[in-house]
Amino acid sequence: MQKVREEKDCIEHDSDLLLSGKHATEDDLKAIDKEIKAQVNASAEFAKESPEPALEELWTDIYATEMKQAAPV
Amino acid sequence: MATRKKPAKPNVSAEELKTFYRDMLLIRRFEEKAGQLYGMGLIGGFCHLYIGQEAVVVGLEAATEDGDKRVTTYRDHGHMLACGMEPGGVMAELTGREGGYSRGKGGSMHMFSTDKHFYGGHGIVGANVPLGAGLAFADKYLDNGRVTFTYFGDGAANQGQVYETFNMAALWDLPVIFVIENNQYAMGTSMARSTSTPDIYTRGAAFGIPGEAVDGMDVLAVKEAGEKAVAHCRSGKGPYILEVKTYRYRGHSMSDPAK
Repeated sequence: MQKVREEKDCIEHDSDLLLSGKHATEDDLKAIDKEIKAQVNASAEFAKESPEPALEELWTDIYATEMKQAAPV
Repeated sequence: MATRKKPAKPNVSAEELKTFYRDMLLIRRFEEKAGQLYGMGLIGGFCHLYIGQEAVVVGLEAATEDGDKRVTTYRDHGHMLACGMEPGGVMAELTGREGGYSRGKGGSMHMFSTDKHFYGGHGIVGANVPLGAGLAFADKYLDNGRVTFTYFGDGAANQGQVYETFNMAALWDLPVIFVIENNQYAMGTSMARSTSTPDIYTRGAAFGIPGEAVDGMDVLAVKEAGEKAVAHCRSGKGPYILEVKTYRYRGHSMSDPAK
C-alpha cells in the first residue's frame, strides 16, 4: 500500500505530467493547493455553523405527501 | 495491475490536466477534513472515505455530458464533488446540519441532487445497481440519449442482484455503464479470498456485455475508457462494464482499522 501510494498516486501522477510537460510550475500548483484548502476549510466552517435540524423535521420527508402527525412523544 | 505506461503524448490539454489536478485534490483534502471532523466527534455514524480512488470519478466525469446520471454506493463523497455538488452542502450533511443536501437527516450515505443528476448515496451493498439500470431504462424510454454511470465495488460484484441487472440491461440494451471500483478489498476481505475469478470485467460475457479493465490510478486512462464506454452506450449498443483497478488508502470506514 505504501509502495502504491509513493509510486502510483493519482494526484502525483497528474502533477508529474503538468511539471514535466512544463504546463505548470511548482508555484502554480501551490497556488491551487492553497485555493483548495481554503475551499475545504470554508465547507467545514459552514458545516459547523449550520444549525441542527429542528425537532419538527422529525416528521417530514417520510411520506410522498405530507401527513398530519401527532406531536412527538 | 499492469505497470503504468508513460504516455508519450497524452491526448489531453494542459488546461484539462490542471482541472483534473484541482478536482482530485479537492476530493482528497475534503476527505482528509471529513476524517478530522469525524475524529473530533462532529461527524457521527458511518463515514467511508474515498482517499486514493480520486482518479476514478474525476476521469469518468470528464467523459460525461450534461444530463448524464450517476448512482453509487455509500462511499459517495468523491462522486458528489466530482459531479459539481457543493462541498459545503456535502460537509454539512456529514455533520448532520440543516445546510446539508438532505437537510441534515441523511448523513454520509444518503445525499441526492436532481440538479446534478446524482441519485445517491445508497447504504445497501449492490442495491444501487438495479437502480442504475432503472434510471437508464427511463432514459431509453424517453429516448433522450443520456447515459447512467452505476458505480459499485468488487465486493458488491459478487451479489446476485448484480447479475439479474446485467441480464435485463443487456436484454433491453439499456444505456448504463457498470463501473466496478475494484479496490481489492470487500471491507477487509481480499479479492483472493472472496472472488472466484480475478477479472471481474469478464463477468458480463455471459450476458453479452463487453467489459474492460482500466488503471484507476491514471486519470487519463480512466477518461479514455470512459469515453469509449459512453460512445458505446449512446450509440444504442447497450450496457458496458468498466473494472477500474484502484486503491483505497484508508480502512473500509472510519470505524475500521487503517488497512
